[in-house]
Amino acid sequence: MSSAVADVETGAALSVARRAEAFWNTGLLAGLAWLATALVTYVLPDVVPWGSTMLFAVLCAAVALALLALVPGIRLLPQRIAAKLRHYGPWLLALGLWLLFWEFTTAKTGWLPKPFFSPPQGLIQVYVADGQRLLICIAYTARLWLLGFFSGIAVGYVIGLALGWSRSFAYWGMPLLKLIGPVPASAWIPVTFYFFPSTFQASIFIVALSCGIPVAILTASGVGAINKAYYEVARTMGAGTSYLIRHIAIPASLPHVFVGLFMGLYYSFAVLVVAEMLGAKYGLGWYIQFQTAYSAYANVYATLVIMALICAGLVKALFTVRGRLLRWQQGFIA
Amino acid sequence: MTAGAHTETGRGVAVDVQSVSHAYSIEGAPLPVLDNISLRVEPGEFVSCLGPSGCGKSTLLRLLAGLETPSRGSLLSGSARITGPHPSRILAFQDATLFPWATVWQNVAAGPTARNELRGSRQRIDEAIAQVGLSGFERAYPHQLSGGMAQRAALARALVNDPSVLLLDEPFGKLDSFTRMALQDDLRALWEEKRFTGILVTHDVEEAILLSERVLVFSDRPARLLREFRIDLGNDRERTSRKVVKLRGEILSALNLGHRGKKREAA
Ligand SMILES: Nc1ncnc2c1ncn2[C@@H]1O[C@H](COP(=O)(O)OP(=O)(O)OP(=O)(O)O)[C@@H](O)[C@H]1O
Ligand SMILES: [Mg+2]
Repeated sequence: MSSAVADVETGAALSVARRAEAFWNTGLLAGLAWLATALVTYVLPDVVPWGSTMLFAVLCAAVALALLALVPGIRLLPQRIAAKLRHYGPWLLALGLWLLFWEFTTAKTGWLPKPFFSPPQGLIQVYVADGQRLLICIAYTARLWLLGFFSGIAVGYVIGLALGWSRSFAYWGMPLLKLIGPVPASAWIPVTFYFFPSTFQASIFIVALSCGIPVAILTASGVGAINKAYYEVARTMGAGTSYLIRHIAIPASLPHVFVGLFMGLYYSFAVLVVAEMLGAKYGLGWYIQFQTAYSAYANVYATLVIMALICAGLVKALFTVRGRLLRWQQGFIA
Repeated sequence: MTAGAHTETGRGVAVDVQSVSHAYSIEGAPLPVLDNISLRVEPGEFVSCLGPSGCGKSTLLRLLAGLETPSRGSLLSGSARITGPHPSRILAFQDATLFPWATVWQNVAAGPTARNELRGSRQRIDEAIAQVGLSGFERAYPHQLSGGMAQRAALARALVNDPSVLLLDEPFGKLDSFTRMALQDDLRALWEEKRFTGILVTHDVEEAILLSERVLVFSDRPARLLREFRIDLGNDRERTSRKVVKLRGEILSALNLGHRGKKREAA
């Protein structure tokens, strides 16, 4: 274990160094952890039947074998992939240990009982048994989220620019925005029902609102925080309002805008359950509610895992876009 | 360099400051900064302004740039009254306020872009960058430049507009002395080539002597014009020449009087 810790600390340096260690010691520990999980899952009986127990054991064994094969085999991988693997080695080990603990305390001993807890194979069973419906739910939620998020940030951004740019707009708009901001999404349901012809549009509005507000507030503060000297430099060179907005206000406020976008991304996911309360027939949020009502918590957890993974992917994509657009900032390496 | 696309540029024009007083208001209380200043800068002349910190030198440049209107008096550029900013009068700010989100090329191109003249100005922009010795750094961002390079870029951004009046606010203030000397020589050469009207604010007495034909010394706030020194050096602008050293002593003692005896590192 202590050598694994040492690996973690020096891992980054080693992966760059030409004389990288021949064997991947962390990989060995990780492989053993996954193998232990596979054995415990296979050998010990489940307290209650869950289904997919064998499938989980096989999956764990497959990961374990892959890791163990890589202990000597990591040398054969391309440099970049090998470095990535070494970097995430400690995480692979932690994941294996976590699965072992999870499996043992739920399926094998029942210390954490049904229906409040589910073992890993419980979640897998959900994907196996209900996969089709979950895929449809993902598609429905994607449609709602894409429409809501992009219309929300577009409108929020324009409002934020106006608030940051125009004094009179800020005078009337800022207090309103501060009043509206903290209102919980569910409180909008009666109003949106009245104003929007369809429940789908009402749902879009709720998602849009959740991400539009942080984007508007952060954009406004970003524009407000711009060093006035930049405007003066441009004005002495003959710049008009359109240049000041397009070439100064917009790029200079971008770092703030991205903070707003990250907040908006998280809020828009958090609000999906509420948005899909409005008479949706499919959708991840709707699925979570539906299964909660039946105390099918394994299905709820399985859906939450899907949502978390999608959200993490979107966060990563947003980071990439930010890296592109903000490479002018100090500390960004292009 | 070819003539600018906009009018009223190129050769220097005269600058007149007529009985100008200016006061800022700080929380309602007026803070007098300039006290009845009158001066004339001839077309194509280079003048330096020295004075204690906070006396109002930057304020004078802001008035000349048209970013501020004086409380009293008037300022003329040529025969036209200065009422607002104009690209024929470019102010290079005390901090090299390059746009951090734009590359060196885009920064230098800011003026032509702002006036929708980018189309015909590409070559002029490249030339301005070459003139300050930044060729090869067109695509660098300001945070990738050294302090001296940033100042050069700011200078190119000003010069590309072919100003008839160039207002420089301590352009080399934060540089080490070697870089500063090199840039001073460059600036002198640029002025000799283009003969814009130059007004330079600085704390460096030697810089003022070497670059200008006239040095103006201002008093503590509110600034009055205390003395002016004509620098008749011709082409003999050696830092160590006896004339320069003598002038330096005279100007320093005038400055010290202006400081009402306050000790100050001015050189
Ligand atoms: N926008 C403003 N509002 C209020 N007061 C100001 C403003 N700008 C400058 N002042 C005040 O005017 C005085 C003169 O400022 P100015 O920047 O002209 O000084 P300076 O001579 O350039 O000083 P330094 O040599 O340190 O740059 C200072 O006391 C400053 O506090
Ligand atoms: Mg100043």
